[in-house]
Amino acid sequence: MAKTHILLSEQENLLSMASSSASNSHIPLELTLNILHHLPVKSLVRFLCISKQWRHLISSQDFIKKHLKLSIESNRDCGIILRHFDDSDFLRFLFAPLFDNNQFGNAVEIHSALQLHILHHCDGLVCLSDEKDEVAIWNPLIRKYRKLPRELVEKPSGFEHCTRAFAFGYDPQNDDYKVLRVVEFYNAKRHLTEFEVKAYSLKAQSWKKVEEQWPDKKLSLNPGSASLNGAVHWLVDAPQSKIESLIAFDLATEKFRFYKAPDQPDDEERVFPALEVLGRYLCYSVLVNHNDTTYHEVWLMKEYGVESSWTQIYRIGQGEVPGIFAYRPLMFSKNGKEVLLEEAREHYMNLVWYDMENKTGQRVENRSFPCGFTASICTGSLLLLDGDNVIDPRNEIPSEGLNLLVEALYELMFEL
Amino acid sequence: MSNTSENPNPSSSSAKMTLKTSDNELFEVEEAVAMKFCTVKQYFEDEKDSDVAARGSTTVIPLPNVHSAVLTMLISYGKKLPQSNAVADNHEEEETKKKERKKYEQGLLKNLMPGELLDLISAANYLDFKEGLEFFNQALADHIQNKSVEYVRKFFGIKNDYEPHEEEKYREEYAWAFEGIECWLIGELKQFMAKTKTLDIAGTLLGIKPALIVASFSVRGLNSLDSNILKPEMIAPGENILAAWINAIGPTGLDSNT
Repeated sequence: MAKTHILLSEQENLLSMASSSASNSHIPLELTLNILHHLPVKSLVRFLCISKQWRHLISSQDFIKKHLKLSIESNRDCGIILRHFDDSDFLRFLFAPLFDNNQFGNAVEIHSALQLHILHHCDGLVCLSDEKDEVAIWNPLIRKYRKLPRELVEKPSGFEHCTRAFAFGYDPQNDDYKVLRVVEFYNAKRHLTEFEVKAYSLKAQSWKKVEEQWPDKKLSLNPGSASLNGAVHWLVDAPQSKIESLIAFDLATEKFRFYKAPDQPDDEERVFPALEVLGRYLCYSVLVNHNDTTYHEVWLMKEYGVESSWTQIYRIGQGEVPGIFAYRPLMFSKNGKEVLLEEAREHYMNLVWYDMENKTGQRVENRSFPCGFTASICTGSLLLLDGDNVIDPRNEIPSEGLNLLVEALYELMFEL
Repeated sequence: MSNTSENPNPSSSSAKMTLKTSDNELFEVEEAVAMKFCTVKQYFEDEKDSDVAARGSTTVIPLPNVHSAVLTMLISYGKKLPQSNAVADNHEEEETKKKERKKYEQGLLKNLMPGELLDLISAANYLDFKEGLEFFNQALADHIQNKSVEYVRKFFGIKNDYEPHEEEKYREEYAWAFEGIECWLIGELKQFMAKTKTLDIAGTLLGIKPALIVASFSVRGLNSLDSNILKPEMIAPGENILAAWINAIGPTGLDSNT
């Protein structure tokens, strides 16, 4: 190892002799920062080593936020996380970067510290849970995570069972990422239900009971949350009402509010509704039975909070695009004309780019993708840089052989 | 010496402005392009007169921080951007223009040295040329993205203030971020190799006047190994030229050569 140290400092001497690039000794910090904003996270983590000043710059909250914003706007460092179970039923995660031409790079395995299978994502952070007691927040691209402390469920007397639902989102008012846990208590006959709502703040690193109570005990949560605009949203089952509702929990004010789902015509039947975030919008996707045909419909709430702004952006009839069965919209393409769909087929999963204008679909062919998976979008961010390191057991210590090779080349350079 | 610019879109305003660079060169630029430089725009908004055409033709705007070579490139990039006063194109025309611009951008970057990118960024920042700044920032980021820590330090002129053990700690902790990064040594070697030149045979050239004369001190006669070959076997113009020799044997056959 000592030899490598000498090598590192000698390198810089040699660089000043051999390099032909102009001397740029004084570049204003502002200009440097602007350039750094355009770099992907892998480069930025590496450049933490450049100098103490650069480390302070890169790890400052201000920089991380600006970098994230630019990342989201330009779809840079964007990719897909594929979660799948391997042959021995072990949970594995793969990450495949997305390129400008809608192609995906090779899916590379990313080691996750925990065997937790439910994913929520927000701003490049992924919230993993097993829908029971284990929850963690993970930034897969910079290999950092934070495990949440266990928070017990206080089960009130008279209830035998409970189900938990989690949601994860960003609170812009407090500049904090929060995990929300809603526990629904019920007994076998389901006459009575009780709810408990708690929130975990990444900043405070602790759980707290939410003051406001679950608004209506008759409402049952559908799993699958969407977080957007400082709130987390779920679809709710209201047994009496025909019109579907969404419940939103504002992470800042910690209050609930309701929205209506898109209007449903009388001659249509809806099944399997789901909420997603598509682009910058709240997205409602559902299977519709109409005149003996099944359609996959997707609506966007073009103006957040305005129920009349629900707009149907496309509708795919069964059989319209060859072999399509059930879909989940994931993201828009860079030009906004196509949507990436996760397609569930009988024995495997597909990713399909659906062109909304021409109504055609193009399957993503990528040999590195596993047969079955659940997909989730991932954006590059430096959030949780201060988190715990994910130790990848596959990492090898650099071999002596490589050091010898570098030394040999170094001597060759001197001779040249 | 002034640089006149063509007007690609005859329907747009043909008002021109004159910009003067740090090396005292004058550039006549269309108003539409010059207004993309917000510093220039601000210069006019500060003036009390409202008639741009009159001002444009008479006032010379000084740009003491911008060299003519840099301004040429920024203006040329500015012209390729969609003009704010141009007639709206239909979808097809827009796509063609986008493709053209992409091609132009690629060509521009191919011929630029990384150090020049910094000059362009600096000038674009001074001129408050937002689109140009965005483009060149991204280009430079793309250039340093996969470079080693040593390269980036040298490029930005940054002194390493880490203790060796501190730096080693980071390198170990973030070993994954160093994977696949071009070792600076390989990078330098590549650059060095790229500097070697190859000679192409041009063939026999006839009719050169005056005819070249072999210097009086050059050896003539037969090649000692093959009498069908006449000396000199290889010649080049000039008289005080160092001969080439292979590393194995020096020119004089002695162990040392001065």
